Amino acid sequence: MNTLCTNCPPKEGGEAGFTLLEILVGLLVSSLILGGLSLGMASINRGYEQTTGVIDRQGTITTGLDVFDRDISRIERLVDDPAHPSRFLFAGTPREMIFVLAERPGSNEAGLYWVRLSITKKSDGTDALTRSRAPFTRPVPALGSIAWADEVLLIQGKVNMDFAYRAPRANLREWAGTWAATNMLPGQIRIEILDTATGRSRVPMFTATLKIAAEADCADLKAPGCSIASLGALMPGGGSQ
Amino acid sequence: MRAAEASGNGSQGMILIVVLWAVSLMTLTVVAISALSQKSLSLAGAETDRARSELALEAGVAAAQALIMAKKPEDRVFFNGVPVMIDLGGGRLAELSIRDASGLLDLNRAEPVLVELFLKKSVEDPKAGAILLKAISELRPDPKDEAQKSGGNDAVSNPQPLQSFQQQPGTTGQGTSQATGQVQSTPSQRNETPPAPFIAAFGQLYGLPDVPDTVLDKLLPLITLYSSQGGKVNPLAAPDAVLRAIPGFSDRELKAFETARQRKQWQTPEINAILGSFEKFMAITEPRTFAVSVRLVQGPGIIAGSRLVTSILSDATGKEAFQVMAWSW
Repeated sequence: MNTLCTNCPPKEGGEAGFTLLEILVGLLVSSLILGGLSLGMASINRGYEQTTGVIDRQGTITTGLDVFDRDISRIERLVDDPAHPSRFLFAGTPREMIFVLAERPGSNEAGLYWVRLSITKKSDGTDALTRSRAPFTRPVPALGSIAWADEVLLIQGKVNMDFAYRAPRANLREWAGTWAATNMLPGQIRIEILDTATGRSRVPMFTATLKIAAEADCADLKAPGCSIASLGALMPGGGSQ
Repeated sequence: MRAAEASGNGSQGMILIVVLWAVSLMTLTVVAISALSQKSLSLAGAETDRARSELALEAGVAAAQALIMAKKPEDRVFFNGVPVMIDLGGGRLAELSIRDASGLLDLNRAEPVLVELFLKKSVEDPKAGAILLKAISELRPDPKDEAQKSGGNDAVSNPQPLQSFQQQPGTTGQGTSQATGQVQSTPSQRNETPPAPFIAAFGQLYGLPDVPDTVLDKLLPLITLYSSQGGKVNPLAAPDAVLRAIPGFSDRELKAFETARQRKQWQTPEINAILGSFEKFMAITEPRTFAVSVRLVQGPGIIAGSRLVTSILSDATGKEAFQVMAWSW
């Protein structure tokens, strides 16, 4: 009844706002949109978390493999006794690897170190790859008596791992779980990472190659300590370093 | 009844607020997702750049090998570490330095007196120099002691320090002794294993008490463990600091070698006379070991300043033209 509204503003085109019904419908629609948006966002969030989780786990494995690769590439060709060598300072089993390398200055305390890469089984059946080290000393100690320190966790998660070794240069092309040829170093070292639940590879089999292929003695190729001519194998009576 | 009549303009404001809130929420969500995506992309990009840089550095070493092979063997003595720029492809530039490792002071094989003089001149702190000298002398076997030992003695377990670096030249440097036959002087000794160098990596010298890492960092460009001339210095490839450590070496000799480098001609009477005068400390032979340094300068997708230092061995007899003796990122 227009007569009751004496101070109302003049209407334009017969409309001056929303009806109650319009507001209710508007609220309903916006609630539906927001509800849907909320559900959508929750779904996106879950997907994002799952994706970032997978990426993080893959990133952890990648970082661990990077350290693994850099370590393997720098393995020094040191022998037990440079004057009368019988074996290289390297030991490898499916679950443990011990070798010598030179840590670089910078973020590290530089020097020659024993390094151990070790795969340990946890109570839940999953594996963890750790790196530990100890200053290199002469005379060469028994491997069991080395006081390992500076332990760093490289890879962990719902995975199982193991190492394998081979020396293509010396025609040892088959992968072996334990490195038995102590008079030579392996040329390549593989780490296999399997998903505990599925048994499938989490990453493609990763193979690292030893970069250092010649001893310091090889400055004179005919020096007894140089193993190039013998395809990397120590020869009886040859000094090496 | 019209809502406008019941609630006035307040309803319009509320709807506006609701809409704005929803839009803001969506905007925030989009911004957050975008930021996280950017971060992930950035991390992935950094990882890609790192991998690309490592491959570029390895390509630099391959380029160095190609450059060495491209030179005639007799011209390889002139590799003196002068940096050159190379294009690794795709506009990626690297600074490449190749030096005949015999141009550096070989800690394993050089004459002890040369090592001593070098350390005296190159290490400012006398205490650090003395400690370093002692460590090197303990890590190196004394050929005289080694030669006198029976074959069953354990030279590694009980390394014999050199008595002094001041003893007469020519009796303690392993390579020189091998070259001159002094170690293998008797039939019984001839069958023994020659002494092997003990310093397998520069890392063995780090961590010595009272020797700051900076001292070794400064020495690293001047020293090696892998020279192929039995410890004798190649003067055409040597830095001045190494040449000046040679006893009796003066500016006159230095200038003569500078001229020889510039002319790429060293077989002159003057140079031969100098080599004859300093035969205990220097020689010029076809190099087999090279110190190679690669540093990335600029280019798309690489980390400028990344560096790789390596020692490679030319092996004409093997399946591979070069073997790596040391490798340091």
